[in-house]
Amino acid sequence: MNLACRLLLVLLLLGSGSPALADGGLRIATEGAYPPFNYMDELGEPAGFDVDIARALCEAMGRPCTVLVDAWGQLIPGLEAGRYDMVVASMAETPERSRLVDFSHYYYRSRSSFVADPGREFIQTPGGLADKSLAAQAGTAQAGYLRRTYGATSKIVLTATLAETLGLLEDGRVDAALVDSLAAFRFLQTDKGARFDFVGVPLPADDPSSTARIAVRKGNRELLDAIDSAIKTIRQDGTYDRINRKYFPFSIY
Amino acid sequence: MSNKRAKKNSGDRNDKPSLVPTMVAFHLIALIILATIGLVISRSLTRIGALATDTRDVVLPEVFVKQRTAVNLERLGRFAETVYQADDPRIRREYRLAARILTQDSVFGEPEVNRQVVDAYRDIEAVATLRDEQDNKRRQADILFLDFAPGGARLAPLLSLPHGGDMANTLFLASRARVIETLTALKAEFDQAAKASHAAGTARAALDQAGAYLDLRMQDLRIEKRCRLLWLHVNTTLEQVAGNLSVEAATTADSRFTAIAAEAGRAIHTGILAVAVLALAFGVFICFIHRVIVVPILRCVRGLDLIGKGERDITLPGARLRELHDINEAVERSGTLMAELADRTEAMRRANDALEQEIEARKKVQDDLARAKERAEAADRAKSDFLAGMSHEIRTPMNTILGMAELMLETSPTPLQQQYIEIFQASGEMLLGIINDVLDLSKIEAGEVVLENAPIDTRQFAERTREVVAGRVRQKGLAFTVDIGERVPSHFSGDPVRLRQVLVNLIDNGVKFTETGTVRLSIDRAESDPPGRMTFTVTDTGIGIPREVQGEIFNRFTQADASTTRKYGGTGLGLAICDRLVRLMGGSIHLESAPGRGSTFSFTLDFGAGETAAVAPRADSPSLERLTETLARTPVRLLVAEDSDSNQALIELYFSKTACSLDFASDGREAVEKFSSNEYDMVLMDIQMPVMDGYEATRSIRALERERRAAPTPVIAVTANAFREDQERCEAAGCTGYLAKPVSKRKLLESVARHAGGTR
Repeated sequence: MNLACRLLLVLLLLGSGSPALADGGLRIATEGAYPPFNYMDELGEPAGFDVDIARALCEAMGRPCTVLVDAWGQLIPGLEAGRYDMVVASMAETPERSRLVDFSHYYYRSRSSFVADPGREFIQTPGGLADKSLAAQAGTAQAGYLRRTYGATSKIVLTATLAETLGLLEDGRVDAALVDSLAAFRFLQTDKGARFDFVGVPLPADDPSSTARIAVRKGNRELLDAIDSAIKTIRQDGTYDRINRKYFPFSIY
Repeated sequence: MSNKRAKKNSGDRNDKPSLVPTMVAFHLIALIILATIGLVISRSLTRIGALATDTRDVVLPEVFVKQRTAVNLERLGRFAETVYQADDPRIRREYRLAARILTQDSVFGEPEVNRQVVDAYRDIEAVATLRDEQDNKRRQADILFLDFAPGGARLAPLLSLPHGGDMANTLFLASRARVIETLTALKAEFDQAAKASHAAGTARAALDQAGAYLDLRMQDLRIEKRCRLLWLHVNTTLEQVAGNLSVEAATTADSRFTAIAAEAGRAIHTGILAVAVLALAFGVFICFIHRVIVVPILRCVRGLDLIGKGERDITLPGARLRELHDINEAVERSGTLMAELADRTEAMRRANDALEQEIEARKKVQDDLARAKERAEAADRAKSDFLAGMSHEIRTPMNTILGMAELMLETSPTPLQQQYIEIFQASGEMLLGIINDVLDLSKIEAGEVVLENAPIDTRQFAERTREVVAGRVRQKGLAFTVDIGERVPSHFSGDPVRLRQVLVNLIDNGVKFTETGTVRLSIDRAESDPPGRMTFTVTDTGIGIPREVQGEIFNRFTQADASTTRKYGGTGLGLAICDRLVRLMGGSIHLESAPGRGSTFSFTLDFGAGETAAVAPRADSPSLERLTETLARTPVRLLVAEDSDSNQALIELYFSKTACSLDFASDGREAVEKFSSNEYDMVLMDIQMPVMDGYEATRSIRALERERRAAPTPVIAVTANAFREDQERCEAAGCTGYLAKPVSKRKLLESVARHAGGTR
């Protein structure tokens, strides 16, 4: 049903043929499949930390906005094609992405961790994980890390969504999944996730995957400055903390 | 003295510093002080700026991280508490996971903190595990204890034993125990009672189950104690670390701001010091200017003031700077100079005074001279006026005398009588000539003579001159010749009356002083002379004039010597008149003479070219008889204005043989009155009359005629004023004719006849 919704939206957007909103409003894209940051609620509307932050930023900038949903792999191409003005989807600033789009300051921090059955042995080295199968979402910083670090020794399995990655872990088809800690936090509290826990040590704090940023079209300096300024505004006026508390019992900024 | 001083001073002068380098040195010192102060202050400011920047970029983020770390540690402590206290295993799992994520926060990157955080998390994880195990034990214990509850399967067998009630009570108390020591005591009590009961069968089974329950409870409370210890450890550690971090952050910020404040304080102190140094430097500078420049200048001013008040010997204390030293010297010198100047001024003033006195004296002399001259001139003028008046007064009676003589000759006298009358007549004419000369000279000298410019026929002129003098030459028995040179033009223009007067005078003079021989007039012109220049020469063979008096004979009243006057008579005016008239015409009389060898008077004049036709030949005058006859035929009504009774009588006698009627008026006004009331054919008008003179009377008559629109009546002026100026005045007043006194009978009758239109 989510997929159908998303497709419908994409079709609507393409059909409208009008990439820019007439009233100077912003078109914000998110993935809608990355709880608790962005997901589709019971009414089929995009929701989550990213969506709340996006709306708060629009309000701080004094501009109306529409939050749209697209597949993870379509977010940057959509931004480049002018279908969206900004992407708020817990995106990390990797060197590959920086060549295509510009990034704002970070709007939350979170380190990536391996999630696995804590009862089994987990040695977080290429040797220790040799011949093990490791999962991550395709096109993410975590997938890049796995390929770079364990691509030669381990079996890397990439999925389209976070849910699919975690599904592979539940079914015992992979030995561990490299996911964002905050995204895994929700999963680990569910019944399905009760068997699993964070294992090993998180990825280094200076890894690109450790900060989430907002992407805009290359060269759109004006919007970027407005976003950075708006992040400061919502940090100072308490809006950010209010949204933060709604999802997490600790500060993620 | 002053020389010596100057030498001494000039020796000092070279040792003294010059003004400009001194000022430059002072400015340099001031600049160096300023630059140093500026450098120090700017270094302080730079340091403050660097500290501030460093605080903003490094220290404050560090403090912020520390604060954040402290906050996160506290939060971790809270999560630990939740894990420790929550009964719900889900909540415990949630907070354990949250604690795990929190430990990943980059703020815990510092190794020491990271170690403590990891240790704390391990303890939290242990608590969570223990809590799960404890839950398990409690569940088992609860199941065993249910059999001993009221109505439970194991309660009845237990109560059946001796002390069964006590044991049931002990079990109940054990289920409520919270502390392991209490439970241990209850268990010992229970174990003792159980041993004493020696139970068997169901009772034994009940006792065993109760023992198992108590063991489980013991394990539960042991875990509880361990959890509590772990939590306390975690809590204490985290609080301590957080506290340390907070203190560290505060200390860092404090030390940094203290450093900034210290630096700012230093800058302020430096600034105050700088201002003080600057003020001091300024004060020194002012003092220097005051002592070294202002005071010497003021001294100089006072010195100049003293010099102005008359002080001469000024000595000023030495100045420190060369320029001011120079000024001092100049002021001192100017005192000396002023003294010299005063001396010189005094000398000059004295000289001036002397000069002024001299000028005064000279002026007085000049004034005296001027006054004397004025007096002399006044006397001269009075003399001339007297002479002129006398001549006029004499002429009027002479007029009558000569007229009477003329009339007497008409009365057919005896030859002797005729001879007497003729002598009488000649003497009268001579007297008249003398009077005319006097009058002429005074007119010439008064500048009242204006020369005429009329055409002159040379030969006619010479002939008429001969006619004038012919009588006198004949009387003296002398020869008189006139030579006119070949080159002399036939006509020229000039004043014929004056020229003839000069020539007649010179000829008369020659005749007078020549007893025998010839008097000659020659008119000639040298070949080289410009046209119009002619030389007139009068030569006689008379007594001659001594050389020593030749220069004086042209003066008035001068003759060769006093005896001459006695011998030859004459007023001595003739040559003086000649000299003046020739000068007036632009020449001068040249005299060549020696006693006994005659005299030659010559003069050269430049004349304009003459016109041939201008001079009409003179008509012959009709004879007296004819005139009398004419006037007897044609009577004329005459009004005669004449104040002199004798002249009135003479005129009456002149007209006695004519048919003319005469009406006399004795002054001008009477003449005008008579003219207005009667009719006259002609008026004879004397000019000098009392009440109204002839000019005025003539003008009144002409005005009357214009008023009446009558034809003008001829008015003939008869006057003793014999000059042409007088004639012109008469014409201007309206006179028709002019007769000079003394008027002969013939002239008068001729004039009347001519104007009456009779003979012409």
